[in-house]
Amino acid sequence: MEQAVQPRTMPELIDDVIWQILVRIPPDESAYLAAASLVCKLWRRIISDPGFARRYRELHRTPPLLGFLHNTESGLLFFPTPAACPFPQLAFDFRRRWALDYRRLRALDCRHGRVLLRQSDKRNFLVWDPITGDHKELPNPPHSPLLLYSAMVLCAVAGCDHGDCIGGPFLVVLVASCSSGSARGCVYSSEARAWGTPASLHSGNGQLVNVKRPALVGDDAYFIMCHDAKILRYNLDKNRFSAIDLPDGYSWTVDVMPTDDGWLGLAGIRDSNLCLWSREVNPKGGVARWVQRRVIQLEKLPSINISCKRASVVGFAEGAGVIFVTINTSSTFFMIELKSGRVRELSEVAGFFRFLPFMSFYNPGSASNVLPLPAERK
Amino acid sequence: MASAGSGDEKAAAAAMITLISSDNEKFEVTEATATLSQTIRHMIEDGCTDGGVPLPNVTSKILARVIEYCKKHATAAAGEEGSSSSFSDAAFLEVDRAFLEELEEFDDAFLEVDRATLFDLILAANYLDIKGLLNLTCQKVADSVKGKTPEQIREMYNIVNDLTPEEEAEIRRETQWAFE
Repeated sequence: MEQAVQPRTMPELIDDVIWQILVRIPPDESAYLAAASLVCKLWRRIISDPGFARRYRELHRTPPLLGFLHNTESGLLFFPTPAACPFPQLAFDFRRRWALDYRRLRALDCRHGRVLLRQSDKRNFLVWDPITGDHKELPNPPHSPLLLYSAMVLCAVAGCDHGDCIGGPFLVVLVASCSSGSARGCVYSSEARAWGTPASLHSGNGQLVNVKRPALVGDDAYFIMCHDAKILRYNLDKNRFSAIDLPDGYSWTVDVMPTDDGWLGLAGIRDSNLCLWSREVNPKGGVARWVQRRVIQLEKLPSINISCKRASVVGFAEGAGVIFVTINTSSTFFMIELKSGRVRELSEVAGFFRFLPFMSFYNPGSASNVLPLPAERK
Repeated sequence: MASAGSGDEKAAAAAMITLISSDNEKFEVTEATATLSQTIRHMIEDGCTDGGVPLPNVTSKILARVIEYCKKHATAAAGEEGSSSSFSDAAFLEVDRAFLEELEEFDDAFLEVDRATLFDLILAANYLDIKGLLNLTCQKVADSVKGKTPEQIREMYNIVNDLTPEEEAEIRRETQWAFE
């Protein structure tokens, strides 16, 4: 900025106004607030105030994407996406932090600041909170052994905006395909410390695709099935299943997600194009139908200069508008920001099964994000 | 109290308020413009605007800018209320979009001021309780710290670092990840 003439001394801002400024610091990089907290005593005091952290979350609503967890052949890894991430890879070092063998951990889902894990040797489920480091082991579900299953973790509080629900009650939805051709599902409640009554649906030939992250839209959890191109809908409130068809011509390689305006969204690849759909109901009445909202020509995006004939969607970060795509199956990964059209190649990422976005606000000094980092750092 | 009637309504629409800056300059503005300020709106409601509204915290230079903002945005608010059935939906949306774009351009140009003036505008917006202007000006400052080091922020806004070396070391330890 031009600094040629300093016309007069800066007027002094009152505390209330400084608060108004600091709460508007954009959340896209957690490092901005960290730098601001080092400016002076007043700025530090404002930023580390719990009331400020609360208002900051309310105002910005969607937490920034801090990175993603991905299962690789050598185990579960965390990949930070921003330039500076408050949760460096070491913070996700399971072995050092809680003596768990990360090679035997598989992340199944990540939502509302919690991560759902399964230990492949003990075959048990864990819900882990990376902010507090806390983890809870779940009792065995009623329909084990599980072969083909998919699962979701979510905050249990109705109407919660998930800005401040860390450490609160959670639910785990587990759906499994049975050999009889039916799907069975039930919900674990951390408050009841028990699994609920299972529900079931005859799902034809459908088998759950357990590498796809399910989507939560309102009270409905959506899971993708292969063979008969269907999505399984499980209503949490009514404990009831139903099935919906994918748009014509799509198979289980799609990903489902909530759209910004509250519909069920779907991302799939067709002829080298990334196609975004949403399942909408006409407000004047009628049945829900798939509407194609956007088509992105992958080959025309900057930094993608290769044929995208064999591309597929491997993950998304709802709210942040980020979709992860692999091209030529598992050799090249791209992170596409839908709003800006920015594309980043993730050359450091090896192997893919699913990308689980980890999104969280991080207010320096705030008691709500005490992350005990390992003492030794690189 | 005024009785209802078309003449009175017209008079009400054209009602003027006098604002008096700290350096005693008088500004005549419509009530619609003035009431973008919650502070002035309350004064009008309480009937204490006869003989003008003294604003001892706002200089004439800043008040002129604030009025410029309020005039533009009051027109925008009036436009939104007044335009209902005269356009078809599509035409209405088109006009709406064009108007929003114009408003955005106005806001961008409005923010082209030096930092001291920007701070004065923030203080005036806060004192007069003009939500849109406070949001606009605070956001401008908030955006300016993006990607800056603490030293650069202090220099930009003439802020004295009053953290003790111990405090600074502690915060640096906690936020080390941000500076690697």
